[in-house]
Amino acid sequence: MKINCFFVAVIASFAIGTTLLSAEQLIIKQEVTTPSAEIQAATFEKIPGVLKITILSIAPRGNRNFRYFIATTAPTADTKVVTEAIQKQSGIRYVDINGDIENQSTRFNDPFVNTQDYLVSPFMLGFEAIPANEAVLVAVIDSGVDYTHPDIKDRVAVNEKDPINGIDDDGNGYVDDYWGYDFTGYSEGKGKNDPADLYGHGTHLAGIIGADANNGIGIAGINPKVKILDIKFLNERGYGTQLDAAMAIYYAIDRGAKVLNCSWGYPKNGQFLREAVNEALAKGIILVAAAGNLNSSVIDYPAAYDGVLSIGSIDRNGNKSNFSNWGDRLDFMCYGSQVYSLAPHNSYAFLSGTSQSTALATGIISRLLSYNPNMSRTQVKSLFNQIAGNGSRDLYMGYGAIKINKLLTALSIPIPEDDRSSVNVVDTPPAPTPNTNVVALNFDALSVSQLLPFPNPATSSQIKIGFSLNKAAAVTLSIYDFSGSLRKKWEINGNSGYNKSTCDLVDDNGNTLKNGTYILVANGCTDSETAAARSKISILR
Amino acid sequence: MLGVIFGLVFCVCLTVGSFADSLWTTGVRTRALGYAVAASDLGLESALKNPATLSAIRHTQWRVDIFDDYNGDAYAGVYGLGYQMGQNAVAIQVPYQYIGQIPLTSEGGDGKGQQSGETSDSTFMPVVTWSHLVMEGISVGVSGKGLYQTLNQSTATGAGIDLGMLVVCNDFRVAASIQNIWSTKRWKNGSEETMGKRITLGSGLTLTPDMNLLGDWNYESGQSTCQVGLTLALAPDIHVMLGLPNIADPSQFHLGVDLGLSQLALTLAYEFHSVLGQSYILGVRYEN
Repeated sequence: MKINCFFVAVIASFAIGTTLLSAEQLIIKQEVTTPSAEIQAATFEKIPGVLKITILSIAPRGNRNFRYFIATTAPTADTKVVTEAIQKQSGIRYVDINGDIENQSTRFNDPFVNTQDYLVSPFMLGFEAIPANEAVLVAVIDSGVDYTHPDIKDRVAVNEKDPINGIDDDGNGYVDDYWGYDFTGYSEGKGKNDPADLYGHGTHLAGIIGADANNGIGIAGINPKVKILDIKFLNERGYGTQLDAAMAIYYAIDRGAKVLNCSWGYPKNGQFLREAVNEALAKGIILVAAAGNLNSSVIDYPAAYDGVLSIGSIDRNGNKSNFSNWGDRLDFMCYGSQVYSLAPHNSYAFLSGTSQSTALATGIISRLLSYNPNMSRTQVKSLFNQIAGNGSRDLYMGYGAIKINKLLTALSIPIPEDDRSSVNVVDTPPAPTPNTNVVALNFDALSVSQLLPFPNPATSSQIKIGFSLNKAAAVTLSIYDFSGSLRKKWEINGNSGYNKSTCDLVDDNGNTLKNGTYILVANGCTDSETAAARSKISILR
Repeated sequence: MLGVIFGLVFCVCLTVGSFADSLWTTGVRTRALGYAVAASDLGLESALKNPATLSAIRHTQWRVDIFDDYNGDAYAGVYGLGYQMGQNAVAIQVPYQYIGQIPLTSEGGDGKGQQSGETSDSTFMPVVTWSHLVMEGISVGVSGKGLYQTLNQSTATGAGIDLGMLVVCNDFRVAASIQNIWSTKRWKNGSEETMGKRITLGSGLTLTPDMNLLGDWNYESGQSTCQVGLTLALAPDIHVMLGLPNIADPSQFHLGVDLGLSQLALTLAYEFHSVLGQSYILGVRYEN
């Protein structure tokens, strides 16, 4: 049994939600009064259907009264029977399935996405008027962050106490967690100290929250004083497990994070995850979590837990985004449609989803904490209740949309006279132009993006074609005229990242392409996926 | 007489160029029939491919067509007015097409393309056509075309001629045309282009009183294409059209419906291209 994380497209989520791995993992919590862990593990291994038992080397929270095991079942085993057999052992508190978690972004391959306007939307106008006085540590618990991205690298929190030297200098059990920690596969002993983002989701969220402002490049995040704690548990396909997620939360607690951004979801009330969330809440940490992207009445966990701020998505008109989950556990709405932010490898992308609205809410909360570090979770929620609506809860909109102008009023901060001009975003994205060249990155499936011919218009007999792939693929480049006729086609082997191809402006019949405008199409193809992007070539010799 | 006409056509053909590449905007019914209109009786819009078909107009024909190509990649329109006087018919048509959102790019210091803005490409091409009914069932025609194109900040001017003939014999029609004669395009920067000539042989067959089949063979720049169109009358004032603009590429097809409202007619066309997307064309026509 697996759980889906929240960042994949809606359709993909449906498809993936039905996918099962060949073997299951069970999290076992047991009192330590029973025989030693090793002896107990050997006992568990004798249970029919159990392939392997792993003793969780770092007991969560160092709670010496309990210990944890991970049982891997045989692919053919009946999980229910195995669970019942384990529960018959003495001192068992619970046996919980370690399912998959899916991130919460909706993928939009619409090639005409053309504007990044959330900073000047009616819901965000004037956010910069909230003074950012103090640094606030925000944990982005996700697929990692591209901490080399020039627009976020200075905002990433590093652990000075544990430099990369092969030694666990700070003794926290995580060797060289200078950049943060990677919990992907932790239950299989694969945790490591490099939380680089191989999927792109976490980088996008980190950019929304705290991309470096006024640095002359890229975009501006919501909080210029934020420090992003990079904690990874979603793998390169955007999936993680309950156990990895919970361990990531524990790590965030230990590192002193004030706000946890959880743009992912687990459809079950996992006990291991709930314990981690409860501990974070008990420490006064603010958890902000995505409601989910299936337009379903069921809010996933951790968003569905009491005390966690559950965030849905609205579009630029303030209407509920068509993908956003709803229900009686929905708290607030934030802008989440076509949000422009960072992508790995020094690039940028549009993404939509409750993941993005959650990150925006996290950004606002972190900015509030920068303004007033003593603000508690209860105070933040009360403040949001005050500004979002009339205090009543709506099934589809929760308590309502967070509106910055009302927030400023509630905080007695003067609202800038000219909201739009006052948005001091010197490095607003470089005019995301209304054409096909800026497209949403597709972090789950193959994507071709940033297709650009250059120089354009072409003034010589050749033109270069640049494009980005999120994974290696065979790419067919085609040039069509506007009558729909194919004039030229060639293929290249594209690598993950930026690719470039040079072509002669001669068609496949040997005729020189005349001055004018043509349609350029790039089709990427792997064994199982295809993706395309489109642009226009003009020739003016 | 026919020999003289063909002689003229092919002599001119050997000496001049064209700007066929520049213009895809024709007409709503032309597009619905997959451009297979060289031997059709559409009148104004088929005259852009074969001037001799202008003879098909009865008295006066006026039309306005607007195009949305490939999901908004380009927009276009055509205004046309034709008038028949005895054995002669004359028309003026003004196709206009606009392609926007063209990225303006250069190579950055890192060797990657970088976009600095956008530009557009617009073409305006007035066409004057004259056709003459030489004898019962045989028509000839000629079009004179001007061109004004703006691409980024550069402009081009050009001119050209189309010639055509049409023979109608009972239920069978044959046609020949040569487009884009004498057409060089001169750009502001001094460059000059000679376009490929396009020769078309067309045929039409009335299969039943309600069904017409059209087929064109085109030759241009060493490449030939075949187009097929079918018209079916569902009622006296309701016609549906189906066209394949390139029978070697079945991933493209065109559809259309023509609704007559007394002397007015409304035509809708839809095009599907498996790679480039969909196009929609709307046309209004007046005939008496």
